[in-house]
Amino acid sequence: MGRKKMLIVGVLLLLGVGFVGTGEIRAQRFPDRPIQLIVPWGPGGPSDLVARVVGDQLGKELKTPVAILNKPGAGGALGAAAAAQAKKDGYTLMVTTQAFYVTAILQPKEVSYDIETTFEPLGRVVETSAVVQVKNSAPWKNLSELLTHIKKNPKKLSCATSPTGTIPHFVWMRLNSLGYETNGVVVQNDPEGISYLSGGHVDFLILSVNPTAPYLMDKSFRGLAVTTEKRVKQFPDIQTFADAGFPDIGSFPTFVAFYAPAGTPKPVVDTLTAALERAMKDPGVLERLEKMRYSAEYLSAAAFNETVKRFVSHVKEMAEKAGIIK
Amino acid sequence: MEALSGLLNGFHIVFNPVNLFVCFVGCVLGTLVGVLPGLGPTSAISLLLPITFRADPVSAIIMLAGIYYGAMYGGSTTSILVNIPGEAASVVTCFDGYPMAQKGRAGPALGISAFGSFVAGTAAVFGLAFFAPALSKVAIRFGPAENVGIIVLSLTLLAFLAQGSMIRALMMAVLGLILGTVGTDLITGKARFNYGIGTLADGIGLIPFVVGLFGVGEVLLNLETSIQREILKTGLKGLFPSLKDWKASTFPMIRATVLGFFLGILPGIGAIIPTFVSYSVEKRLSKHPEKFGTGIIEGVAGPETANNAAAGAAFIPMFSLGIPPNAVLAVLLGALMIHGVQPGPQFISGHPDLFWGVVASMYVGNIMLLILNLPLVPLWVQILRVPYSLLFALILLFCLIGTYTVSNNPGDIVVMVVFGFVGYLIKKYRYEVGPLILAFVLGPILEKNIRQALIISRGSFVVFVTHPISVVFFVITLLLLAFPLVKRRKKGAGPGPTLPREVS
Repeated sequence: MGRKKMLIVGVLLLLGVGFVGTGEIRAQRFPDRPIQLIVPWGPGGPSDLVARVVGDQLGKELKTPVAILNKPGAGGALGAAAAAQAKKDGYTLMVTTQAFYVTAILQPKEVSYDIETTFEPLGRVVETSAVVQVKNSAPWKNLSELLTHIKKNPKKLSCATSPTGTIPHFVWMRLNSLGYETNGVVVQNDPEGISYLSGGHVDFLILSVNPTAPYLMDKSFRGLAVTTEKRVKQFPDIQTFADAGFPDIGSFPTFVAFYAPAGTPKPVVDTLTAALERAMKDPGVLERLEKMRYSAEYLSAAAFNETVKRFVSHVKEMAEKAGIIK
Repeated sequence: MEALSGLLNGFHIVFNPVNLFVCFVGCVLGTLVGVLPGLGPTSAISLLLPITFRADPVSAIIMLAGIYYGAMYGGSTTSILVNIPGEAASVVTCFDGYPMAQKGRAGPALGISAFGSFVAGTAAVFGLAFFAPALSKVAIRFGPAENVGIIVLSLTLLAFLAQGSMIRALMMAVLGLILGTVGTDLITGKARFNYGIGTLADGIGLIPFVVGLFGVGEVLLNLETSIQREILKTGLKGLFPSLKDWKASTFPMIRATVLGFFLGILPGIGAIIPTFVSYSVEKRLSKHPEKFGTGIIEGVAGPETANNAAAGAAFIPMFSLGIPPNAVLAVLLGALMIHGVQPGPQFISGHPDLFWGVVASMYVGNIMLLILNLPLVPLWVQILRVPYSLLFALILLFCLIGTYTVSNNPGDIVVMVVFGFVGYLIKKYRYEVGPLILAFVLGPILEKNIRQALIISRGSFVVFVTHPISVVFFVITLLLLAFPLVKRRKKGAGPGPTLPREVS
């Protein structure tokens, strides 16, 4: 009786040790459950679409289902807060845009996360650009003509942009601060901006290239400049600010990146980043992203952090100058 | 005619087993999602997006589109049966639909709803098929100044909504305007009245607001007066609309189709506003306006037809310009983009199979929905026989689930409950919910458009007079406001025209 009992206890102990395991063993079995991607924006937006396309492939690489959970609100702050509170086990990640940083800089009181410490970037997956565009019937054939006109007629022209905190809005503010003053008409969403320019209700538009692409392609809108350092692949004719002769306007990247809550174990993070990098090499994913007119280039966490540092200091400087930090 | 051949091609695409099946699935899901309060087509479409990855674009969009217009069919069911709108656009159906159910006429209400939805849906598809490019050019002409004209006119129609005391209706309207200011101001980016609460940073959500006011509020009110509910068990006066109902509904349906269609084309208007406008118009034109709110068929036929017309018309700017006029179609646009298709000015000519396939599927879908919904009427009516002590728990559960699915935000639930209590108080003390909701929806839109118009005009109010479309709407508004005064002066000092009492 005594010996049998000891045997049973011994076996149970052994099994117990096996189950508890060490961190190393857990990581090797990661992932063994579906992974959830929190997107702090509504369905159909850029982060949502990119998260779906890339997340789908990520799931294939990790051999586990990947599900999207939309948690929109407060400029991405609500979803970020939810992701920050998730367990740091690598099963809950966040996919968001540069607004993650911008919202925190502009409204530090409304956000509950810290851009440096709350999350650990896994990598940037796509970059996209905004375009300064006019209707094709407009008299300005290039950026220089438009800006010259604006300088001569300050505060006469109207410019439609996306809401405060977005890249188009920053570009508009930057132009204003450089002496090219226009009346900024903030539109609630991209379709509204397109509709206003199309109907001739505003003089020019600064909006992301993705929703406006069909108009740029069939030439009903004329793109005068892109806001990034490099030109947009699908529209090689649209100059950058530097090409157009205005390098001091600067460059404003829009990007989508994957994040894990800071404190996630390193082996898990490594698995995730490796899988993400592999996913971003898949030709199917690249094709899909290119068709949606995103520049699909994986940037590893280290390189991405460099870009982010510059971006954040740029934004901070502009925001302080314009006095829009609350 | 090129359109005709395109359409025939479209039918050819639709009539294959896969596409017919997904169309059916979309319609069923749409109806279901429309019936459940709070749960809306946006949630359903985004949940199904991953599944459509593997499918080809035509089938994917046929199904997702089916969910969208199907939801407009289902939304009226709970409005009529339990006074809780299944969709925000079905709020107005509650005003007369529920009293009809209380009088034992739930069947005719549901039947006319389904049929009106069918008429409107079919007419909208017709418009989409043949007039999309021309109509979208009209839609583009509406900039901020023009939108202000329409909204001011719509707000004036608010006055016609009032059933009882005008003072109470106006108080509710002002409350709606105040509540509409909560959130982040668009133009300056500053947060207003959200007191640091993240959930309110983007404003009081429409779904939590409506579901709270109508759903939770209604349940709370009924729990207080539980005895009267038993009346509904008896006296079901026929399950289908009578000939009299059909006659009375014909012109409202025609007017609502036209109204809903043209308002639905305009980006930024949505499906709620056409329903309110239709209701007000029908009340204004009716020979017995005082009966509105007591349960007459015109009060159901108009709004239900209008919201389906608006939903169908919303596809026009979506497909011919690539401009989705509301959040649901924006998600649909996203689905198209994932498939590598981006609607824009060249969409119809560049992707004829996709466009005509979807258009043809909408014809088929509307017929499917009619066949689905009409025979279901007796089934739905059985719900009324469930004892309220069981029903209310289920209702609350669905409201809870539906509201949460909007943004996966527990804060929305709190909003819903708070407005549940507000709704209880409003209904108990006989204040008007209609003006509250209309003002809540219109206020922010009006503010946004006025400010945008003034930014463009550099502060000059003259802009509202120099834009022709805007002037037209303002003139109509002034006429509407002046007309009753003129009428009263002509008839002497009477309180208004007296009408012969009709026996119904």
